[in-house]
Amino acid sequence: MIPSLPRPLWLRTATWLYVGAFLAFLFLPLAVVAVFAFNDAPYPAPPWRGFTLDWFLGSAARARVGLFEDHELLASIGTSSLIAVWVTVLAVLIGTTNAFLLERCRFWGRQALSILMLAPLVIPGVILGISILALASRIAELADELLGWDLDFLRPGLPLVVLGQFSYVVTIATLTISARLRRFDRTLEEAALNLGASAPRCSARSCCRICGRHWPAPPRWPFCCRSRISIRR
Amino acid sequence: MAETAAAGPWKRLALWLLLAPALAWLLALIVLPHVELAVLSFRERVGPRQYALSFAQYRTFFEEPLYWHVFVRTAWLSVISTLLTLLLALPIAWVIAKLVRGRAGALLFAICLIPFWVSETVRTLGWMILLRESGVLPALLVKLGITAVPIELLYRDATILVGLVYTSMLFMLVPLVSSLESLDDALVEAAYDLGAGGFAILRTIVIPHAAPGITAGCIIVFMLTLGNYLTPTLLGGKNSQWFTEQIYTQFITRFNWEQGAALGFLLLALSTGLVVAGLKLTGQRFGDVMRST
Repeated sequence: MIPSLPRPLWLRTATWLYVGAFLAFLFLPLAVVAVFAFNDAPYPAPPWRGFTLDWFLGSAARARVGLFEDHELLASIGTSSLIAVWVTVLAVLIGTTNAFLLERCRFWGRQALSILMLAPLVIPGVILGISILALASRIAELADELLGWDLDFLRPGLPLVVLGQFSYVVTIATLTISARLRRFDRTLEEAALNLGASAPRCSARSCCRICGRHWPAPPRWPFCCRSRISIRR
Repeated sequence: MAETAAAGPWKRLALWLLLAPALAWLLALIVLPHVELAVLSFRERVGPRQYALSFAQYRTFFEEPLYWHVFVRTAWLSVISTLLTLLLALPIAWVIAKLVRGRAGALLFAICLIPFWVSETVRTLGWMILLRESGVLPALLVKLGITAVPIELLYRDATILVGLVYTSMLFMLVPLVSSLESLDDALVEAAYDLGAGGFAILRTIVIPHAAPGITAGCIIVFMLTLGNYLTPTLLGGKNSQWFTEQIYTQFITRFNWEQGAALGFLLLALSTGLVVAGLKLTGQRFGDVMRST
């Protein structure tokens, strides 16, 4: 229970034991990966056979190709980062316009639109992925058949990966940014208008102020959600 | 629309400018793809590049016991994993929101979120190193004398559950903490003064107050679990029999997009049905619940 109420000793002990066990559960897999990256053995498994940097610095001549010598692996890290950057930029951009649309505009169908925007959260990722794949292939085929165009970006590849990730990451960006926008005091914007700021300028300034502190948050989400749907790769 | 029209042309233009990207996103990436998926699932190949309207794909699902079995199994394991995640996250959320506050609370919260900055692949690899026959935990069990030889801990249903709970913990913890933080301590104190025990306080005050957060967490975790591909495949191996694997196989390995689309639609129907049932059961509304995250 809360600190202002008396808590028996066993409860306090149990609470902290549980917190300890929970943190162990959270960090054990990560710690194991980190530790065995330095193990001097061909497989990431016990026993510990001594410290080595081979898995980072090793070259083909030493039988173990380290990370920094494996150009294919390095290139794939580059690809992942490129996708993450694109998805982040697009999602934050559209997430911000969505947040302003939902929080600052009154129009017919707003409620329905806001519900539809939440839909990607409850559609299993695989289905989102295959449906986008199916539609893109259909459009590419049609364009090829009817117009003779070769729309390469609609074939499985990086642009589709970005679109697929983007399609549901936007929802998360919209949710976080509009939650922030809702808490923002509108009278500050009105005061700026009274003092002669133009409306777009006012919106832009207020947006930067309030979201500025929050913007680092949405981008982190796309980064950590990135591996969710392997089918889109 | 009348209100914005009266407010001047600038507001109207702004509305359309804001509406355009939202509509483009929802139509091109959410609505139309699902229409295409529906069209795919209701057709059958009758010859080279010739298709006819049919229910054959859905019939296959109901006639083939394997699909049924995997479907029910996936739903069942997802429900168990969601409830387990809730059970494990609730005490931690309480500690973060109520017991340690201020900087210490924020720090503990941040520590709990750090593992989720690492991708799911790496976290699953960690579990594989820990649990496989030549891994850390079986070796530890032998050393402690609990088992004579290293036992294989991977490729079991319990292992899949551990992985799923681990992966979805973040999405349960965040809504729980934010809904518990808004609970007024005075209510808990008042209940205590009136003689309520710990369990009564939990049942009559904490749970009702946190209900939107609990529901939101459960919905998101359930969806992520049901649609998860990586964790069941890596931790469950060939025995995992997860429904998303079936869909993946139809699309990628067998190139039977029609069958895959039908399976995808059935999964969508299952998830929507279970979420609606859950909302009805707890008397919550979808929009309110999701905004509480």
